Amino acid sequence: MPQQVLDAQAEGTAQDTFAGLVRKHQAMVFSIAYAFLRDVATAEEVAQDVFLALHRSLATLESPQHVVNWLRRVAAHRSIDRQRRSRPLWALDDIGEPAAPAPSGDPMLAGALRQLIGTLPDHPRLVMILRYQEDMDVAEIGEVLEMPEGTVKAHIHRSLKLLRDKLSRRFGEISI
Amino acid sequence: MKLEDELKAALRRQDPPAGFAERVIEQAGPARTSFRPAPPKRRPHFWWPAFAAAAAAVVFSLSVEYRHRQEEEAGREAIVALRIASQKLNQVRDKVVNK
Repeated sequence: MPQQVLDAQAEGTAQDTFAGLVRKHQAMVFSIAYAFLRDVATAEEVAQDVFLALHRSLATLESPQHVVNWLRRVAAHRSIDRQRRSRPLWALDDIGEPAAPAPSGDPMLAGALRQLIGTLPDHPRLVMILRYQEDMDVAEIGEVLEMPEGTVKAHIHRSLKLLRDKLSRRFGEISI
Repeated sequence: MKLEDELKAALRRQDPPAGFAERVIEQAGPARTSFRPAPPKRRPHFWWPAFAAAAAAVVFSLSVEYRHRQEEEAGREAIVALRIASQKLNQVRDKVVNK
């Protein structure tokens, strides 16, 4: 078979690989950026940036699992970079009080939680997103964010306590 | 419901706006290559113990040789010293006899 045909086939395969990766992981990358930045347009820009970086780096990645870790790491770091260039997004005082206590599982409670997470400092916020959105364990989060496991655990512990306190103040006696 | 369950529900993944993947793929253009093939696994280093044993043998034989040469040198020096001492004694004896 002529070399040009082989090259074209190889290029087509690579392009299919990249397209498949984008389709497979778009929700993961977009959601990390969106949960952190709380703005659809900015999150989309960051996610697009992450995938274009993947396109440039595809040849350096060894396996599908390596790609997932790489995407999480790059999405996390680029979200922080983007946040630092355009502060502030949320201030605690901007968060509206719910009109009435919300029952457990209420969309209002979920919305309040997302907003409260948006008030956390950069690293604790990313730790919480990776822990509860991506269901990553402490070791995986430490690896992605390049921080010791003890620091990850401390961020989770402190953030949970903070969220619990704030939710109790807002929603009164709620079983959480 | 526990707070951690509420957090998982609140932070559920969301799809990006429609057409996101197509826009990214179009903007990226053709990919140059796919995954890099994994590097071949390194073989265990069997040569290391052999190298260590050979190095130890060389060091040992050099030290034996060195000690042997030191002993030979010491023997030669002792003979020279005895000859010098003998000459001195002869000189002293000649002086005593000539007096």
